[in-house]
Amino acid sequence: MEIKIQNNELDFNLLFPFYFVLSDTLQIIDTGKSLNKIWPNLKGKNLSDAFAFKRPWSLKYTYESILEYSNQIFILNSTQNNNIFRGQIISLTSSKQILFIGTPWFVSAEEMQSNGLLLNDFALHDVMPDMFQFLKASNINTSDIQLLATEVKAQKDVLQNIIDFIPHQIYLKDLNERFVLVNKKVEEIIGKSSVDILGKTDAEIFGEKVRIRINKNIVQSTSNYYQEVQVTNKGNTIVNQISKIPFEINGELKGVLGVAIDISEQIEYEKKIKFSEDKYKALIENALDIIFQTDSNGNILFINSLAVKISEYSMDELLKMNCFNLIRNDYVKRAKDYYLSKVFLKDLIHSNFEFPLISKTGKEIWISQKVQPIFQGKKVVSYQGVARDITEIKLLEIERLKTENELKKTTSRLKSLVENLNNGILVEDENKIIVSINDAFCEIFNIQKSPSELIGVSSDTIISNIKSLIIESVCFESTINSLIENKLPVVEQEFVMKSGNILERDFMPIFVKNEYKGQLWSYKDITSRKNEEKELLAAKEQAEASSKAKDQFLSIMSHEIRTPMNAVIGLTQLLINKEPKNEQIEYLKSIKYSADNLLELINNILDFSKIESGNIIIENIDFDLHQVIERLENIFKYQTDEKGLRFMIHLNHKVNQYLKGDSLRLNQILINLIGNAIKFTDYGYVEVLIYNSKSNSNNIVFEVRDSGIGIEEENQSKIFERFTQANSDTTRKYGGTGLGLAITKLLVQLLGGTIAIQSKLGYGTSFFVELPFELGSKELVLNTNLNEQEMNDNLTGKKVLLVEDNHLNQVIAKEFLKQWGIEAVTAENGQDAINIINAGGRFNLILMDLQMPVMDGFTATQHIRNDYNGLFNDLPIIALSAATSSDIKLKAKQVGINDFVSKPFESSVLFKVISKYINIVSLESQNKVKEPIINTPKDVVFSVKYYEDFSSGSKEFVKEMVLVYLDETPQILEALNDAVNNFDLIEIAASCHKLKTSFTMLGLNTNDVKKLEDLAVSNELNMNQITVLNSGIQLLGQRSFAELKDFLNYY
Amino acid sequence: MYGIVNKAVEGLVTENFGIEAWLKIKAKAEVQINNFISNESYDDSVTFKLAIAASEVLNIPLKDVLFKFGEYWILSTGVKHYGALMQSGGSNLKEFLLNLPNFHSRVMLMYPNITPPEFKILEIGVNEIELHYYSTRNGLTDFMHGLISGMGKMYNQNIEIQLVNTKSSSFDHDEFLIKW
Repeated sequence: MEIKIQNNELDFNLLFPFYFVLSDTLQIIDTGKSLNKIWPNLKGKNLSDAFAFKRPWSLKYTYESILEYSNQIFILNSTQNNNIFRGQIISLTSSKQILFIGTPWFVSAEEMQSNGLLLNDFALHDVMPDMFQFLKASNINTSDIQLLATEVKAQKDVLQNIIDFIPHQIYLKDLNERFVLVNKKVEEIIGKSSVDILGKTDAEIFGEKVRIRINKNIVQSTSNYYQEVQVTNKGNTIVNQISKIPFEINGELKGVLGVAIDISEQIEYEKKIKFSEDKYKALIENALDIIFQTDSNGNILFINSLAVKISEYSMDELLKMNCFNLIRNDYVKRAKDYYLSKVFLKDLIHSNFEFPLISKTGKEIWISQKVQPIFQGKKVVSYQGVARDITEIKLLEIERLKTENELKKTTSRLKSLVENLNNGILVEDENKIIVSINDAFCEIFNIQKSPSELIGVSSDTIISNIKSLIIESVCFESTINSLIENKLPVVEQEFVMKSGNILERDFMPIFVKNEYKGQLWSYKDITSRKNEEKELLAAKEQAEASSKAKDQFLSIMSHEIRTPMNAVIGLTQLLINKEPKNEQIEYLKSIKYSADNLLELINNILDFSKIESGNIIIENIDFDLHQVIERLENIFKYQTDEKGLRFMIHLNHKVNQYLKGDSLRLNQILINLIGNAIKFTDYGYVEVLIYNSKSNSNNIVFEVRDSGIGIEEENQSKIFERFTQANSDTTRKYGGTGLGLAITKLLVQLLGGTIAIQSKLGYGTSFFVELPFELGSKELVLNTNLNEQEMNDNLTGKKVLLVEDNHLNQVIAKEFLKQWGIEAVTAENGQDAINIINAGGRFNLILMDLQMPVMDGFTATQHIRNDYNGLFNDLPIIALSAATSSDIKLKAKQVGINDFVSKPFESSVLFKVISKYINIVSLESQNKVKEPIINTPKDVVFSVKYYEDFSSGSKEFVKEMVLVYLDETPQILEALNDAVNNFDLIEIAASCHKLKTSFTMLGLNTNDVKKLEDLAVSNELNMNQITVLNSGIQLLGQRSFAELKDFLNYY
Repeated sequence: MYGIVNKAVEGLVTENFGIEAWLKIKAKAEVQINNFISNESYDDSVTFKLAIAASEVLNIPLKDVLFKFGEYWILSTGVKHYGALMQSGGSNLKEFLLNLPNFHSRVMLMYPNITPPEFKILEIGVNEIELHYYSTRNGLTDFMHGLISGMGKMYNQNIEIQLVNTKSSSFDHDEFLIKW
């Protein structure tokens, strides 16, 4: 078909190859070329034969009806093959025809192809073939997607399998916290299947909160870590470690991926580990041993705190130390050698080294140490060790070794001792098992076994044997038991054996470190000793009886002999003093010498017997050694001068002047030794050296040496025996009793000292007396010992009451007193003396005989002391007695007698005693005296010699000076008296000072003045002494005034 | 290029060299896409990288890879998957070749992201045709060669293909002379 468009004829087949044309009778009158290809032979057919109307199906098969649908899509079904034709109608109005244009509808290229069509059967503008392409692509796509879906499903299954395999809860939640994915573990814990979980929130599943977050601190921007507590479907509580990460798809947040790891077991395990670690740590820290680790060089890597305590180093200090630094220096090399050898022998594991550790403060601690190497491969990288403080054990061990050693020594010594002892010895242990027994024991008790057989056997086995030999066997056994029970040593128990022998038993419990270990029994046959003792006792009793008789004899003898001897010596002395004829002097001297010798003999015998019988009292008083020396010099000066001997006493300056001890006995000892020395020395010297002992600082050595005849060595030991002299010639030549040195030795021993002799015949002798003395007090000596020499001057004018019943003695004593310027009043007995005092007699001193008729000296003294209201308390009373026993002396002291002079007295002894006491009281002080009777002595107290010498004998000058004295001195004396009364020490000192000058110029005795001045200056508040001294001074002053006034009259 | 192209590469490799070779090539090409969707557009570089990687992994010159791929595209992808559609392109080679321009024109609108090549077919003689191949892409000359070879094989027609002109700075397309 040709059509015209814009007057151009066009091939319609190019445009619509599938057209057909209908007549108004609905007959197909024309077809396109491609329509003809698919449906051949349609030309001439009625429409209804060729096609059925699928749409619009409501039309009628009429020309007009079809035209009504010209604005609609027509879908026709081929009656040939049911193919679809889709198109439209165009009314060809002029020819009353209908044009169908369209295209067949295929759903695939295959369908098109099966209908014999190709692409170029379609108009180029037709998109029907393109749809095939499209549909094809769509199919491919679908299959692609299905493939993909399968693959995704497979991958998802893999993933699910994987996450199901993981033993932790894994889940995915969307943004609304709904589960999107969970694994099996989640199902298991929750107890629900995934169907019931997915799409739900925690709250929807559990209804209540079963997850509790327990820490929130681990929160990061992209992920979230925390722990939660979860209750499982079984009701258990577990702890989860939660990790959450945001879940994104293509950068868009879709939800959260969570992993919950059950760490309950881990926590439990960690707890256990921690507990175990803590325990381990505590174990180490509280260990009773030091636990440590060092590197291979010994540098400390680890050490527990016990080491800090023991070593006193801080932990920091220890960790910087090498372990060898702690070892005592002398042990370091030993330690190194020890460990080197152990390492070398690969035996370190059995090492055990002991060493002293030195702590920071230098303490020594004994350590026992075990060390073990720690290997890395074959190489030792470090050492670990345990060290223990074994100081106590070590010290005990040392002590034990020492003790054991000593014990061994002792035991072996003891064993030989026991074996050789004459005593029967039995040593038992605490169970009465015999430990040691000797032959003597077996012999005493007649035991028929040897000691070695008995050791280890119970002592009960021999007790019956012993008992059978003892008289009181029951008592014997019971004492054994009680002794063992009491465990106290008991010695010298005696038992009588049936044989008559006497046994002495000593019991000695044995204790080792306060622990009872058994006992020692010692038995001794003392039969012969007992017999000897009996004999001795009888002898002693006899001896004592005869000794007593001797004492009595001596006592009586001494009194009876000494009293007449006193008269002989005293009267001889008086006769010598009475200027006898020359030949008479010789006789008198002989009498005197013989009497002196006899008296000395008697005195020595008495002394010796007194010392031997213990009737001698050793005094312990303070004294001045210088005074003792002075006295000795005075006593022996005359004798030595007469014999032409040099006599010296050397006192070492280091010897204390003031000592405490018995100065009288010292004096006696030295007098004896010096006297002896002088006696046996015809030319040369007698010297006394006094010095401190080199061996004992408390002792003083008195060495008396002479250049005399000396003593042979063999006789030196004999000279201290009584009635012994060096040889028989001595007595003949030198006289003496032979008791002197024996007495001296006894006295030295009594004083606790020693005496020794050094001598060479013909060269001289030295005696060394070493005596102990305490340090004396100067004050005490000064207060009690007034200087004799000073007192001597003061005897003149004193009044003494001599109470003596023996006329001879009265005469002798009075004569001596008269010679010393003392006025003596005599009383016949004690009563007479009291009468004189009661009659107003006042005295400076009383000499009192003790044994007198009418009233003895003791009674008289008691009256004097007690009957006058203390008026005569200070009045010195000196006993004169031939009885010199210590009893009498003690009684005399008790009644108030001040001192003692034994009859017959040496004038020098009496002088000394009187001098010592006579100035203690003044007559004035006995204030009840009406007026003391003072007989003016012929001697005067003053001397103008000084002024005469000074003025070359100018009487005028002397007179002038005496006048000045008489003018000034009374005022000074008055001032002194006032000062004394006011107790003004300064004024006393000042007055005394003035008086001292005045008195000295006129030759007056200044002793009292000086003494008083000293006292005042030294601030000594001795009221009594000041008063006494002042009285003396006042008296002297008054006397000087009287005498000087008298002097001026006749000068 | 649409996923179908990459799928074709995958098919070519796996069918001839196994899945392992394909995974190696993908790894070499650093292509991490597991499944190509046919109707989805992928960047051209993916295809080129795969081709280059295949050449290296299989030790075959790229030229040969592209040629084989052209043949595979027609014989496997086209015939297998678009069988009827391909056959509807013409009842013989000549028809098919003559239809080639329209074929691509129809496809173009259907796939909005496609950049199809353009062809100009000149009928020189009864058994001789000039094929002018225009493409915005470079380097697919060998592929085109393979495609033509594949078309011949599809119609069981022995053909002679001659690359008359190659795209260069002075010539804007490839020109093949096909004889049978």
